[in-house]
Amino acid sequence: MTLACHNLTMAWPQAGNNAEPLFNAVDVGFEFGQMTLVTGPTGSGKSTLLHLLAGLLRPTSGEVRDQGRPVSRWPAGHRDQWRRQVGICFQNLFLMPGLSLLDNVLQSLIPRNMQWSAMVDLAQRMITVLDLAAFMAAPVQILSGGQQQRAAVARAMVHAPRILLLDEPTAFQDDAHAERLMDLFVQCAAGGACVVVSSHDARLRQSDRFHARFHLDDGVFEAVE
Amino acid sequence: MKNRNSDHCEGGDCSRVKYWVSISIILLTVGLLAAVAHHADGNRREAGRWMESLDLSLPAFWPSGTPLRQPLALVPAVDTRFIPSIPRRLTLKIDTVISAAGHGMEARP
Amino acid sequence: MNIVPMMAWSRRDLGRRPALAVLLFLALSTVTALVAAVLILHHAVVRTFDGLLDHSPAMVVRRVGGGGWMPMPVAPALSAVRSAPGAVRPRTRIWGVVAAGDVPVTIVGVEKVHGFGLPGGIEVPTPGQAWLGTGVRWPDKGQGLALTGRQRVTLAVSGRLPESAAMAVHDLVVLHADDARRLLGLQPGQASDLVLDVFHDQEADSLARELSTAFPWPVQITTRHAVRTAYATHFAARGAAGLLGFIPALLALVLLIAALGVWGFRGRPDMGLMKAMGWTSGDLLRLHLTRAVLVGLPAFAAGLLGAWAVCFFPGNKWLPRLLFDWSGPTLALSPHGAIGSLALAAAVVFLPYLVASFWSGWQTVQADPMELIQGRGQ
Repeated sequence: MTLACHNLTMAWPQAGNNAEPLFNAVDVGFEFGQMTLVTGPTGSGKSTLLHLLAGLLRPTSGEVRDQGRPVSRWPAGHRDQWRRQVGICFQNLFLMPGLSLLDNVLQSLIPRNMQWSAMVDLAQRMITVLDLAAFMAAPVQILSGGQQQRAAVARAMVHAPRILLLDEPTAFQDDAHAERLMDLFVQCAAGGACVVVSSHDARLRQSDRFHARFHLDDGVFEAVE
Repeated sequence: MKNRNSDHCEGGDCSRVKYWVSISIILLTVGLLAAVAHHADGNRREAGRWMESLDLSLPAFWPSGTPLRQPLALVPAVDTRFIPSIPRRLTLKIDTVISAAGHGMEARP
Repeated sequence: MNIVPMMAWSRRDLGRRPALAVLLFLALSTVTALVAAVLILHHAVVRTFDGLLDHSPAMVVRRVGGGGWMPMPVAPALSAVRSAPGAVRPRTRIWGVVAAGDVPVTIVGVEKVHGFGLPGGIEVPTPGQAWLGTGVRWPDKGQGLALTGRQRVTLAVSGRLPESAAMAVHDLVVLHADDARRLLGLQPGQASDLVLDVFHDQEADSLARELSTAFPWPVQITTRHAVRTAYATHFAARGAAGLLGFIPALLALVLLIAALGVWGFRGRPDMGLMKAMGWTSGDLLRLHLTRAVLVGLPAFAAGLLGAWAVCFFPGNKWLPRLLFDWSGPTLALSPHGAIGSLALAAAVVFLPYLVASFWSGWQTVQADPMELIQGRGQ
């Protein structure tokens, strides 16, 4: 069971016809039940890869396959439905200002057919696990950078996604909170999810908790032993 | 919305309060409208009684002495288009039977 | 999707941009009130007028000559009418228009004969007395009321006619028949005109033709049906003029739709983010519509209530001036059947609003999530 990139090429249409593609004819697979780390220099396309894996962007050519199904070729409506199994934490976080922390986490649960009280309970538990219970009702913009990052992780994980994509999830965390987050990611993978983390964080690079590692540079994926 | 309790209110106890408050507002509005309608009904009945009692041809919607209040006060033979003091929108033409019995004349202007 | 979470989220979303929500609410309620008020007013005025007309005599017979109206001798007139089968309760009226100061008022002469009485237990005036409608000016309260017709007559004021009957008697002076005759230049035994009822309104036209030959002088006969028709035409013309009010209303509606477009545009990054969080295009469209309904429905209800209050709330003084160019009686318009006007207002305002909401939402949810987040949507 893999989430795979098959012959995947991505070039930004805005960059013009002569621009080099971000990556070219990439074949790489991310196993379910495993944690995979993707490293690479800034601008190498790590975030774009996560966006492609999440079905937020369409590749220029090639496919993203979820257990063999070519999800990137699906029409928007089908991809919308499939994306319900995906949790993503953006590098820029993209929390919704003007809403409370609880509301931001609830945002992922609203379209899932649940009772309101069950949603609120679930969101509150997730927030508590991430050590943010004291800020439950606080507007999200008043939280610190690290707290906002954990809020974004909570939003990505609250609905127990089958595919969890995390872009620099520990960048603003102290060691204790980074470790706490890693525990959660491992739990998620142990539950059968495909967890893909993109990061520069040296603590993650040195961590032995990842099952697989890839380095992305100059449009080339290399497995790191 | 900003605290935990109010979020519980969304689907729990407070929804019942909101429900009853909404019902009360709707009932109050309907009651007020009904009272207004009833009051107006009374006034219309009273006006109708006076019209019957005094044999009034028209209600007093327009001022006395104007063509709309006493349209028949205008001589039928005079075309109001030639009376600049009476705007056209204040005149109206009522279909009447005019007769000159015994004088060999009958017409419907 | 469960409706409760969707409603809750829509409320939160509206709370993030309260100014826009309030603006939309005000614009929509104003447009609704304007359109509904025009429609309701037209309906209610016609209905009220028709209702009051039901209490008027079925036919009016006026004696006319070369110069217009002429006094009608009572005895020969009654005798002529009684010869016509189908004429019910013929009676003569003494009424006319005279000046109270510099303002014209309608006078109605009555006398206490055959058990005649005024409604509400009001005493029939004796010679020299008068009852005034609430709209008749009576500046010298200690003095009598001076009326000027063929003669100048000063009457002692017995009191005011009831305000509740103002739609009929607002600028009326009820006085004794003898005083009325003096003011109108009528001789004893003469009346202003003659009225009668019929068993069925449909008989009035044929009876009018029959009556036209029954009098020894030229007469002008008007049926209630003819009056009703003439005023219906008049009201329809005024109503059509009132519909010009739709022009600013439609302009406001266009602005409203533009605002909705802005709403949709500004919400695009949020929409993209929500798609990334698992919302489908259908969910987002439902959210957009729920949000529109959460603002629109109360605004629409407020607009309709406002229009209703303007048209039907008691004590409304400016309405007669708007409708009849006169600070006339306080109108007690009939709300019966106004539901149809409300439904029409709904069709005119709320449906375009919903369509505009759907359209702006649809435009937004089509794009790929990342394009929306980065503001590169359609």
